[in-house]
Parts: sequence; C-alpha cells; structure tokens
Amino acid sequence: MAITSLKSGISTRSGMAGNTLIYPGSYDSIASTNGSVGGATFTSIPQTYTHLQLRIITKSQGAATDFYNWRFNADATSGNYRTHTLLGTGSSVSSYTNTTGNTSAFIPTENPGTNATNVFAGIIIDILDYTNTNKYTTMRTLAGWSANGSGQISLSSGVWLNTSAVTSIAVGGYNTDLSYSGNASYALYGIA
Amino acid sequence: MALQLFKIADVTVASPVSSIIFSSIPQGYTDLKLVASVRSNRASQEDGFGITLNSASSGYTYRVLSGNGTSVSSVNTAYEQIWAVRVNGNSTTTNTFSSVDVYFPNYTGSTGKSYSADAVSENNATEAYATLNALFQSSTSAITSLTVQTINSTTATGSTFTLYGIL
Repeated sequence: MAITSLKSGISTRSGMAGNTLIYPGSYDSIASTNGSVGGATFTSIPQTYTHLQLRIITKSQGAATDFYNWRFNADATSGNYRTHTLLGTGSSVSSYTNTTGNTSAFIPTENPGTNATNVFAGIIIDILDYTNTNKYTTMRTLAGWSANGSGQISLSSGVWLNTSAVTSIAVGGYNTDLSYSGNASYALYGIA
Repeated sequence: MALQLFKIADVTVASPVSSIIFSSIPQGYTDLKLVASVRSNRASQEDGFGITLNSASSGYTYRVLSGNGTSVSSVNTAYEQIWAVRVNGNSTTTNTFSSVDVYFPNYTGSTGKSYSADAVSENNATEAYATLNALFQSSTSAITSLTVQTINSTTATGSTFTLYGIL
C-alpha cells in the first residue's frame, strides 16, 4: 500500500503487514545550534556512525573576507593541522596550502560582515571514518557565497594529524576569533 | 522531510586489492552516492581513482577542475578511460587518506549516465589535490554494478567504500 503525502505529493510505502519492510535511513541529525556568537562546539559526538557531515550557514562579523576555522577534540597542538584549497572568485582561480595558525585549520570561504545583511555563506563538510584510530582525519569542504558582485567558491581539504577518534568539533571564524553574527546555523549529521 | 539516504553496502580493505566491485545494485532508489576514504600504494604523491560502470571498458568522457596546492588546471580529455579523481599516493603523509564523493543521479534511467565527483587528498606538505569532475558514460543501461580502483597500484589497507541509495 502506498501512502501519498498531501503536503509533498511524495509516495512512500507503509509499514503495514504484507508490505516490504521499511528500513531506517542512514542519515541522522545529531545536533544543531544557531551559534549566534562564538561559533559552535559539538561535544560527546556519538561513535556509532560511519561518517559525519556538518552543514553550516554563517556570516563573519569581520570587515574583510574571513576563514571558516575548525578544531577537533580541542587539540591546539602546533603543527597538527594542514589545509589545501581550490578557490574561485568569479574572475580567478587558485590553489594553495596553508599552515599559518596551524593550531587549528582554516578554510575559506566566509562572507565578510560588510556585505549585504542577508547574505550568508553555505558550507558542507564531510568527515569520513571519524572513529578510525589508524587514520588521520581528513575533512572535505565545499563552501561558497555570492553577494551580487562579489563572492567565492571553494573545495578544500584539511587533515588533523592525530589518529584519535573525533569526539568533539569546534567551528567558527578565524580572523574574528570565533565571533559570528546572528542567524548562523550549524547542524551535525551522522551517516551510518 | 529528512534526507532519505540508505546504506546499500560497505567495504573495508583488509589487504591491498586491485579493485572493489559493488554488484547487484538494487534498482529501487532514485540516485546513488558513493563515499570513499582511499589511499593508493603507488609510490607517488597521487594516483588516479577510477570508476567502471557495468564493466564497460569505453564510452567515458569527463571535464575536470583540479588544484594541486600550487596551481590549477582544467582538462576535458580522458587520459584514463575510467579516471575520475586524484587520491593519495603512498608518498604522502602516513595514515592520510583521501575523501571522495561520487553522485549518480537517475542511475536506472535509459539515457547515458551523467555523474559527478568531488574529492580531496591530504598531505602534510604543499602538494595535495582537490578535484571536481563532471563525468559521462554513454551506455543507456541502468547501473547495476560499479567497480572502483586506484589505477596505477593496489588500493591500500584501511581504505573504505560505502555505497548509498537515495530516494
């Protein structure tokens, strides 16, 4: 028996006897926050998923283009992070690495606070095999923003040179010392 | 409505292998998504990561944008028929694996298969690769199997591959 949603028009199977078993999905919300100021920190991350995904909408309070910044397990050890970025601005492309401030890792793109009030950056971060203690943790980030004449798009990587399982993630701005404007949103998902 | 993502199969490489095959892929989803944490045993900073659809040996084209930590390139000629993205070679930092995501929309459709891939390698050095690729395989058959491999050497122990179906 199919069920059609009046709201979305999407047909789904019911769990009634005689129907094919409906398996639970593999994509779960773990936590989310508006993180109005100071970025966001996710702690006590469940160790039961295969991968993590972090989805962020945010905007820097800084006057210039900023960087999105992350740190695992509150590890501020110098040299424990490295990032690489492929960046397009609408008129040029570049590829570079960065070890500056490598007590954490930072990745563009971030929308400067001087741009249009309602323009935020969208950021999706995938963290694979985050419980694996035989691997350094690699992050893959697709990020961008557009402000009608300015903007950036980037595909970035970051590695945490530590084999510990990821149990906490702190995210925020770089130049503005983890200070963000209101209406930011940070959502962490577990993928089975 | 929550994202309807379902794990179909996963593989962890226990010892170096030349390829991994996902076969008998269920045909009841809308799209497929392949996620891989992968490293090659090639004695190099990088290796190609290849994807074969339904064992097809030809009919592949792509257009790629890539950065290596210093410069950027974009090409549209296939130097490897099944080449999709660049991943970590065995000369990169120990214990470091690439992150790969490949998306196959409408994989049961009866037209040629357009799919996309984005991937990053990592390395505690200047050289590491970010790859965005738009790919096409000309067969009009539904995708029922995927073969993945690091092209120039075996896939390293600890690499993982997860195939998801999306409704």
